[in-house]
Amino acid sequence: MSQQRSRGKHKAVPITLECLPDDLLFQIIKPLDLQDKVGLQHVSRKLYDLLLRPPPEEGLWGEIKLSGEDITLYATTRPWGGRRFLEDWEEERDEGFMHPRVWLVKRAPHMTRISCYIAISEEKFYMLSGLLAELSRVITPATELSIQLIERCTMELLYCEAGKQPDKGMIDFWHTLSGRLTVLEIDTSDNTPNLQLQPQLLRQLTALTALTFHAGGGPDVNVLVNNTLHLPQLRTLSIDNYWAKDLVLDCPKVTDLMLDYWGGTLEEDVVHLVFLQARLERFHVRQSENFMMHAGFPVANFLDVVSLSIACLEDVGEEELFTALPLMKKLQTLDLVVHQGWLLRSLPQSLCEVTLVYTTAARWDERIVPALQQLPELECLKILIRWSGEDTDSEDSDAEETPATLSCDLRPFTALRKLRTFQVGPRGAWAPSSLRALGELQDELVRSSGKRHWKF
Amino acid sequence: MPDIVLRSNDGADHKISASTARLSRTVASLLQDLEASKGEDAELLIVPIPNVCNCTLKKVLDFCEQQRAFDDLVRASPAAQQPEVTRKTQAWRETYMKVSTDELYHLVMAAHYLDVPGLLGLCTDAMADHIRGKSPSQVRACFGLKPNLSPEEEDDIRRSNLWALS
Repeated sequence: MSQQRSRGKHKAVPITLECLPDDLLFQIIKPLDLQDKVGLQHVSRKLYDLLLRPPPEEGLWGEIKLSGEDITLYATTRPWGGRRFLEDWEEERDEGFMHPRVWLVKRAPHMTRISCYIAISEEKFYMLSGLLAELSRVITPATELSIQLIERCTMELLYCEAGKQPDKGMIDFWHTLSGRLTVLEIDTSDNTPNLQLQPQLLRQLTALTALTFHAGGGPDVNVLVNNTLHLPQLRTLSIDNYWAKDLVLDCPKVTDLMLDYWGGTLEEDVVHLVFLQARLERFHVRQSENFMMHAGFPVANFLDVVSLSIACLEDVGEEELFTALPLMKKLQTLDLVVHQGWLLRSLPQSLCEVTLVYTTAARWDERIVPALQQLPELECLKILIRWSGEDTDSEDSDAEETPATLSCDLRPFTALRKLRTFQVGPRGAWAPSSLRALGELQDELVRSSGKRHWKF
Repeated sequence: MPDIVLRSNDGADHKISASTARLSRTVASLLQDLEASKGEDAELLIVPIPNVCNCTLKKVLDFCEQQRAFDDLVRASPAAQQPEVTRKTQAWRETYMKVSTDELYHLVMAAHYLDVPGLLGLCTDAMADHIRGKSPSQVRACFGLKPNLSPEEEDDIRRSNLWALS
């Protein structure tokens, strides 16, 4: 194999552990257990600093803003996992957990916002007490604290077997955060059967302003019966249907509401939302049926909406929608999956960005164009033939197979003086004559107004 | 593609097949660029490896050759013989990694520079083994490090780590 032209001697270069690049050192240290990592801190200053410092990529101490005023803390069962940790959670349960407390203590005086990403296996559950002790010590009323719980950790902290009560560790965890935690993101795909969410734990979080709850597990994991969750300060709520059944969410101040895959109908009392005084500003819904029909969504709740996104395959209660739309005088962004037979004759004049998605080209109705042409503030218009929702492969194929039937006289759009982005797609869905018109329109607009940011 | 020559930083040439050389992602990337500029029928390519000395490069290429041979063996062996192939691979690697600390340093740096994932993993595991279970002073002795923390800093670290040692 080796054909040597010259036989240079091995040149002894004095290198030590500390000469290795940081990423290599991280790779060496990563598989070590906790005791060895702690021991390495005593070996030399460089190693001590290295073990406290975030690695270049996101990790245990990832996403730190160097201003010292805003940090994200990752507490995982290994020192440098970051979000990739999610991918190999089941395989990696090593002992390499570096407690965040040293790091927290060092930076505590400057912190105004702390974000925790907690994914701790049951074996390391006891470490949460240390973490929380530190958190409670450094949090001040001015500190914004957010926590992201994932998978098994969610189970450990929020769920109990049916009929059992939460243990002291769980109660203590949430009690410590009572009145302090402002942002909570919960994500679980654990499918352990016979577990029930314990809402009384969340009920203590009276300072919560944002709650995200996504569960990939089946409803059997998350069944929750006849409970009311009163979150008086909540502004942002994002949930999916797997979360709870017969749950009353009493969130009078919510302004941003995201509902994803809310199977079933509100009429069936799957989940009740109480928005007594809510004035929504952002409302995004996917796959939910009849949401507009429910008494919890009176038109009055939508009058302040600035961003509305409705992506539902089934009936959304179009009569209510069409009644409410012109009344949304502050609406700036509208993202809509258009259903068969829908005719939007009137849109709020405040709209700046409109995205219309047709799941098949056959649903395109040219009569919507006059309504669009009367939007003086319109800056961005997208007319797309696709379905962007999940689990809609069949819809995607429909879109691909759509014959080129779309046609439209687009020249009147030149009158929209603020229009900067005009996107249509896919090209295959449009009739050749309309494509030619699009090209001419682009030329005309560039020529007449000097606009350079058109996209086709 | 024909064989290529990898030239160490002290001028030693190692002729190997392109497929073996491609186990190094760094070399693979270089070859890709060279092929793009010269075409596949170009004359014998000489790729300088400026960060690696002759004996370390030879050791790295030993690994690559062996790795490729094992890969071929795995592909050719029926399922029933796979455990035996794995056992042989592990035995060879254990022998291969019997190197001095100094050699290990050079090897890990070379594996890192040349980006040979299998070898890099072996080397970092071996270095971790050198650390595992040792006291701080033993780690220092093993890697030729001098203590540079003040007694106050040592105390501070010790206090900070009490939670882990209890």
